Amino acid sequence: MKRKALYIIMIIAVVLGIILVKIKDFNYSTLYGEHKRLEIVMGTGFDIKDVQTIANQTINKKSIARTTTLFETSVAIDAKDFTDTELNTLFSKLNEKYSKEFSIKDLKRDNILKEMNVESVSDMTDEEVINLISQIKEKYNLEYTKDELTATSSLVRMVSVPKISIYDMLKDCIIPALISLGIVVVYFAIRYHKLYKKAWILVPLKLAFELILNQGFILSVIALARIPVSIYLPALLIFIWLLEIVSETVKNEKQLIKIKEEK
Amino acid sequence: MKKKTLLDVLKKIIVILVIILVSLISFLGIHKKNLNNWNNILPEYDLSKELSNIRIFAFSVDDSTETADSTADDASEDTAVDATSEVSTTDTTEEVVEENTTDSESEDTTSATTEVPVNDPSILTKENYIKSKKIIEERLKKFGITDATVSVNDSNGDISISVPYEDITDYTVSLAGNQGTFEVIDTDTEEVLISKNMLKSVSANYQLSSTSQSTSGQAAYDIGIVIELTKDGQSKLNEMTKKYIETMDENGETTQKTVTVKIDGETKYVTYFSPDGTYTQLFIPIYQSVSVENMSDFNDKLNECTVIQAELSTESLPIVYQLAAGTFIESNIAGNTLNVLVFTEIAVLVIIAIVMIVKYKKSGLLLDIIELGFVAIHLLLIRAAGVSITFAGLVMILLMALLNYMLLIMLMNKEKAIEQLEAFGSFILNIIPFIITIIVFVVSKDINLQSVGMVGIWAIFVLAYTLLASILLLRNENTKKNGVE
Repeated sequence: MKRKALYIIMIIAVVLGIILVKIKDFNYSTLYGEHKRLEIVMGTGFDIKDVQTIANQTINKKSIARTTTLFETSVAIDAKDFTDTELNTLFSKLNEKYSKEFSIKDLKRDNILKEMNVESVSDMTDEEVINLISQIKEKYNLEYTKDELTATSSLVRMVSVPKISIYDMLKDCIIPALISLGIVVVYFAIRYHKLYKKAWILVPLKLAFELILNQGFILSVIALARIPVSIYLPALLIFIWLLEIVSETVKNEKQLIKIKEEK
Repeated sequence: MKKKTLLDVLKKIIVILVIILVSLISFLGIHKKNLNNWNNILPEYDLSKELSNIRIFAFSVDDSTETADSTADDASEDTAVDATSEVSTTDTTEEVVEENTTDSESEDTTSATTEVPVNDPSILTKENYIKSKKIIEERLKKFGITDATVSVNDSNGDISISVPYEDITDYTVSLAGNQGTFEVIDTDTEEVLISKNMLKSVSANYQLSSTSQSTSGQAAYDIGIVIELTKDGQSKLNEMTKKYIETMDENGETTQKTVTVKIDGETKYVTYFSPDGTYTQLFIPIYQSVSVENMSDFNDKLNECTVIQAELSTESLPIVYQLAAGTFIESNIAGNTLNVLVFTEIAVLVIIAIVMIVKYKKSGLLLDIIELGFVAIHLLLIRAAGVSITFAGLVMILLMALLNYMLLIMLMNKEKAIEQLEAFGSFILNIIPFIITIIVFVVSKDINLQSVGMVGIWAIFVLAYTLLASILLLRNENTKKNGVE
C-alpha cells in the first residue's frame, strides 16, 4: 500500500514536472543556459580572482570569469546578460586596476557598422565619415573618432552562447541505458525465477518501471525546485541508476539464499 | 609453530611493504632525470574537457552574398588536371559553396551578375538550424571526436561547439564549416552523373602511388577516399566506364572524355576509365605522391581525408556556416574546484578508514592498507589505459573504492581461504547486473557513460588483488583472533 502511494506521488511529480518544463523549461546554470560571453584581452600580469571579484561587484547576474587562450592572456566572463551600465562600470574598474583602455565603443563597433550597412570605413571620404559619426552619435549615443571606426582589432568581444539542453546532455545515454536494462531484466527473470514464482516476468518488468520512474522523478524534482542544471546532472542520474540496480540485486540474492536455506 | 607464526608475520610485512611501494608509485610517480628536470615517466591522467581545458568554436549563419553568374564556376575549367598531378587541399570556412538555387550551368558569359545571399532566406528556419546541429554532431562522432557538445540558438542559428583541447580537434572547423556536397560531373557539359545520394559508404584510405617513389626515393602514397555506390550508382558507374574513356582517332591522336569529382564545389580529381576495367568502388586521391618520410604531414593529410569521409557519410548541411570565433578556455571546474573535488573524495575515504580502525582495531588497519593498495592500483590502471575522466568518472572512482570496502568487510569475517573465496563469489553474484550495465556503458557513445564504464571495469579487475591481499593478510588474523593457532 505504502509503495503504491509512493508510486502515485512520484507519477504526479513527474506529470507536474513535464507541465512546468513545457511552460518554463528547466532552470539552467549560467554556463549551461543561453548566455553571453564577454572576452577581454588582458595581456599579462592579472589575477583571475581579482577579475572575478570585479565582475561580481559590477554584474548583477551571476558571472563566471575564466582565463582563455593558451598563454592565459585573455579572460572570458560568462553571465546571463550584460547591460550597458554594467559593462561601462566593469571596463572602468578594469582600466583603473590594470591601466588598460577597454571601452564599450570597441565592443559595439562591428555591430553598429553592420546595422548601418557600412562595409569599410577606410574607403569612405572624410565627409562621409563625419556624417557616419554624427549618425552613430544620434542613434546610439556613442561618440567615435575616425581612428576608432577604422580599427581592425578589438580588445573586447561579446559572443552569444546557446544553451546546452538536458536532452543534449542525456540523449546518448538513453539507448545504452535501455539496452543494459533489457539485459538486466532478462538476467533477473532467469536468476530469480524461483523467487518470483509465477510473477517471474512481472517482477523484473516492475524493476524496469521503477528505474525509469526514479529517473523521471529526479528530473521533475530538479524542474519543480528550480535547481540549476549543471555538470552534476549526468553523474547524479547514472549513480542513482547503478545504486538501484545493486540494491535490488543484493535484496534478491539475500532472499534467494534464505529460500535455499529453508529448503 | 613459532616458526610458522614468524613466517606468517614476515609474509604479512612483505605484502604490506609491496602495497605501500605500489601506492607510493601511484600517488607520487616514478621520476627520471631529463637534462636539468625531473619528469614523471608515468602517463598523465586524461581529464575530459569538463575537468580541464575546452576549445570553443562559435559558428554563425553566413549572411554574406555571392555573385551569381557563369564565371563563378570557372574553377573547374581552369584547374582541369591529369591523374598524376597533385590537387589542392580541402579549404575550410572561407570557401563559399554554391547554392542549389544558383545557376551553375549557365553558358552565357554575357549574363548580368547579381548578388545573391549565400544562404537563401527561405532555408533559415528553426528546423534547418536543428538539422544542421544534428549533422555536425554526427560528423564529429564519425570523425572520432566523442567528447563534443554542440548547441544551437533556435532563433538565429548560431552554433557553439565545445571540444577537448587536443590536436585532433583542429578539424572541428572543417567538420562544421564544410557543407559536404559531392558530385561526379561530365567535365565538358557539367552534367551531374553521380550525386551524393548514390553513395553507399565512404572511407578514408591510402594506396601506393603510381609514381611509387617520392623524389627522395622513399615510398609514396596517394591518400584519398574510397567510395562504394548504391545499386543505382553502380549501374551509372558501369555506363560511365564505357563512355568516359581514352579514344584514338584516325590520325592517331588520343582524346580523353573525362569526369570531374567535386567535393564542396571544389574540383578534387579529374579522371577517365579503362573500358576493360571492373569498377566496384572508386578510389579518389585527394593528395597524390605523399612521402612517408614526414609522417606528421602524412597523418595530417590522412586526417583531412577522414574529415571528408565524415562529411560525405552524413547529410549535407542545409545552411552554410562561417566561423565567428575560436577560443581556448579553462573549464570552470578545472584548477581549484577540481582539487576541492579530489580532496573531498580523499577526505571521505580517510573518514571511513578511521571508522574501520576504531571499529575493527588491527583488522581495520589491515583493511585500510588493502584499500590503499586497491585505490593505488586502480588509479595506475586508469592512467595506463588512458581512460578519459569526466565528473561522473571521478565520482565513480570513489564509488568503486566504497564497493571495495564492502567486499573487504565481507572477506574479513571469514576464517579460511575457501570461505573467503565463497564470500568473493557471493559478492560477484551481487554485482553481476552492475557489471552488465557498466560493460554496456563502455561501448556507448556518451563520454560520461564511457568514463563511468571504464573506471568500473578496471575496478572489477582490481578486485582480484583485493581477494588475494585479503587471503594473505586478513585470514591469519581471523584464525588467530578465534584462538586457533
